[in-house]
Order: sequence, then C-alpha cells, then structure tokens
Amino acid sequence: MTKKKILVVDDEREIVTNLCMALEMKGYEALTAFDGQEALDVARKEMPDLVLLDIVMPKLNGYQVCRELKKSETTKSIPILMLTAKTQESDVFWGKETGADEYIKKPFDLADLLERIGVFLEKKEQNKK
Amino acid sequence: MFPLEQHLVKKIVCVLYIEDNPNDYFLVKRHLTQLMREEGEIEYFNLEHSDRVSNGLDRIAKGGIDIVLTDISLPDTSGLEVITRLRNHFPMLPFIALTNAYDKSLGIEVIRQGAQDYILKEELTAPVLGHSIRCAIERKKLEKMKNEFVSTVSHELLTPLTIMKVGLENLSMGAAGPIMPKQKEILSSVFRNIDRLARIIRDILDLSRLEFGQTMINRVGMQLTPLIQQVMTGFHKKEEEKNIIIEENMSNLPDVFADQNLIIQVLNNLLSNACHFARTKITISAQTVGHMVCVYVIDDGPGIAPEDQKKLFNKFVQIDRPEGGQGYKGTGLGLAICREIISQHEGKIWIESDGCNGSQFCFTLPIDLSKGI
Repeated sequence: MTKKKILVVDDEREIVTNLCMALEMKGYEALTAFDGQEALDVARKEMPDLVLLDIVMPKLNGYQVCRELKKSETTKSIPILMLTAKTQESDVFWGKETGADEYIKKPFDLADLLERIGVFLEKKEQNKK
Repeated sequence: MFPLEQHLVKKIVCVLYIEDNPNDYFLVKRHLTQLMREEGEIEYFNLEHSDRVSNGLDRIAKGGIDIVLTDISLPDTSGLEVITRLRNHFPMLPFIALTNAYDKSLGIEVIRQGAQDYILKEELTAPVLGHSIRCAIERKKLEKMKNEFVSTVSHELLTPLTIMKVGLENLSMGAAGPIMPKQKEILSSVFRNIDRLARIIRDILDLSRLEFGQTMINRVGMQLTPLIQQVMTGFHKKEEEKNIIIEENMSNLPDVFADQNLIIQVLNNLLSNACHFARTKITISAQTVGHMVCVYVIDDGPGIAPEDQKKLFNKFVQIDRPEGGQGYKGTGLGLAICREIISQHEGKIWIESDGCNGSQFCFTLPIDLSKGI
C-alpha cells in the first residue's frame, strides 16, 4: 500500500519540520510548503491526501489557499485542517466559510492532531468506495 | 478673525451631549463656543444633542461622533447604566460623564466603569471642558494601542510555544530514541506548563477582546437548564478526582437572552473554581428575579473573606489557594472574564460568603422578552 501524502504548510519552518517528523513516524509521506503560493503549487502537482494549513502567511494567506483548493474539481475533495494561533470566532467563521474541514488552535495537541488526521483519511477512503 | 488657512487646519471634533436638562446643554454649548473663539485653540467643536440614552446610542451608531459627554441621571436609564451601555456598545469611543456635586463619589465609579473622565457640573468652565475632552480622546487612543499591543504579543507568544510543544511531543513519542520513565515524568511536567502558559495567553486575549468589543456576541433566546447540564457533564472526571458531587437544582425558568458560548465560558470558569475549593458538594440553582434570571453556583469550601471579595473580580487575583499540587492552576483572569461577559449581557456578577461556610457566586441574565409579549 502506498503511503498517504500529507502537505504541511506554515511559514514557521520549525513547525513544519517538527510536524513532518511526527507524520513520518506515523508512516505518512510529508510534503512541505512555506507560503500560500507554494502550497497551491505543491497541492496541484502532488495531489496530497490531506493538507495542514496555517493562516497568516506571505503571498497568499491560508483562507485564500483554502478557497482556491476547494473551488477546483480536482482538489476540492482534499480535507483541509486549518492550524492557527488566531482564535477569534470570526476566524473560525472565515475558516468554515472558505470550506476548511476543521479548525485547530495552536498550540495543538500532537496526539490529538494525528488522531483527527487518521479520522479524515479514513472518511475519505470510505467516500471513495 | 482667523485667516482662512488657519481655520482650515483646525481639527473638527464632533461632540455628542446626552442630557435631559436644556440649561445644562446650553451651558456646554456656550463653553464650547467660547473655546472656539479663543486664539490658539486647535479644535472646531461640532456639538450635537440627545435628551435620552436610547436616542444618543442611535445617533452614535450612525457614525461621525468623536466624543460623548453624558449626564448620568437620565430619564431612560438608572444609575450608571448609561456608562456601561456606552462602553459595551461603543468600546472605541471616548466619553466623559458630567456629574452633579452631590454625586461626587460617583466620579471614581464612573471611571472604573469605563469613562475617560468626569467633570462636576458646578466646576464646569470652558478651559476645564476643553482640557477634559482633549485628555479623554488621547487616553482612549492609548487604550487602543495597549489593546493592539496585547493582541500582537499574545499571538507572537503562541507561535514559539507551539514549536516547543510539537518538538517535545516528538521526543516523548520516541522520535529520538526510547524515553525512560523518569524522562517521561519531566516531559509531562513541561507539557502541563506549556498548556498552562497557553491558557494564560488565551485568557489575556479573550479579556482584551471582550474589553474592546472585538468578541462576536451572538445573543438569542435560550434555555439555561440544558446548557448548565451540558457544562456539568464536562466536570464528571473532576468530580471523581476530587471526590465531590456537582448537582443542579433548576426550577422552571423563562428563556434568557444571551450568547450561548460566552455563558458556557462563564459556567466553566465558575465551576472549575468551585471544584477547586469545594469540600464535598457544588450546587447550581437559578430563580427569576424581576426581569432577570439569577444563577447561583454554591460550594461548601472555605469561603472567601469579605475583604477579599471585592478584589476577586480584578485581573490576576488569586486568593489563598489551597495547595493544588500538580492539578489545574487558574490564570487569575477567569473571574475578570466572567465579569466582562456578564456586564456585556447587562447582568451583574457577585459573590456571597461569610468567609468560612462556602461561597455562593451569583450572576444575572436578562429574560428573553422577544416572545411572549
């Protein structure tokens, strides 16, 4: 069975490295992007199984990336989990509005995050069938 | 007369005066006119008038008002209600209370409730008014800067905290080799404190947003009893741990007009405090008092001495906590957040305790009047 691909997007490199380490340990293949534009490029090219997306980033912000991915037929079924230090209701609102599947506050619980990723991937697998 | 250019660079300040006594209004108008005539004055005052708080709030909502002067004994509000309403509805707007000499003691209270200044009507002169208006506007600007600072710093703090947490979680999951039990113990203490720090930062953000009207408040008619029961289910684990019982004793209540998430936050804060202090039991009850519903959270803990009760709702106050060991530690902001939330619902929150036989925290919420009338 091929490894599931997860795209990790954050302009804080150390968050990306640490998340990748955890994902790889769990047997996933981790892809990275450090700004919104790169995230779009990698997502379109690699077609990941799931995206972990920061919000405040250079070039394109997380909402914009999310909206773009959800707009396109080819990428709209990829689950997007927003990770952010912002916590205002209005941010959650925008996240939902742009089509994010889940909204996770920083600092998140890694074990909890990995569990949610697992649930999303399973759901996606079932939808396929 | 001013040369034209000089007149043009004058700053226009739109002042709204909420006052039901025409004499007072004309007096203020005269003072402002006098200020504008004086040479060297830099503002042009544009005075508008409302004789009721409700009209005043409507006028402010239309925009363009820079500062509000308000009487505090108005026909359509009681006591300091005008102050809390102004502050809650328009947290970015500076305002000054004009008080009568006989309610001198109110002055300080008015400032505590959020006014930038107060002036005794007896002592009102043109220079006093001009000075007060300028200072109030500048004070509000500083307050805004403080708020932005708090918000930026808090967000900045959360990023490194996230990196530390993920890094340590990787370590504890064995990313760099197996973890010995002693190491595990140290790591879990670090985790607890990262979470604690994150809680403090979030509480600071919550409070600062509430104070500045940046929290989306979505009030609807809602039932309290199911909400209280829902919050209670989150405390089952705590009940077992501390060997206490949490029970509710809710009578039939009318719906209240409130924001569900914010009230959950208040109940969570009060219950987690009560859990900390209760010896055997916590009781939640409620009753209708006039057009409000009053909710009581009662514990049988050591109580809080009368001299400490007033301080309790201030920021960063923690009163003689019993040894908590490694359990949940408060942030010292919980009750300040509760007070802010309840105040934005036009309710009140307070504590009753004789200092030895438990504490009773009470808060009121307005009954939803949209149906039934």
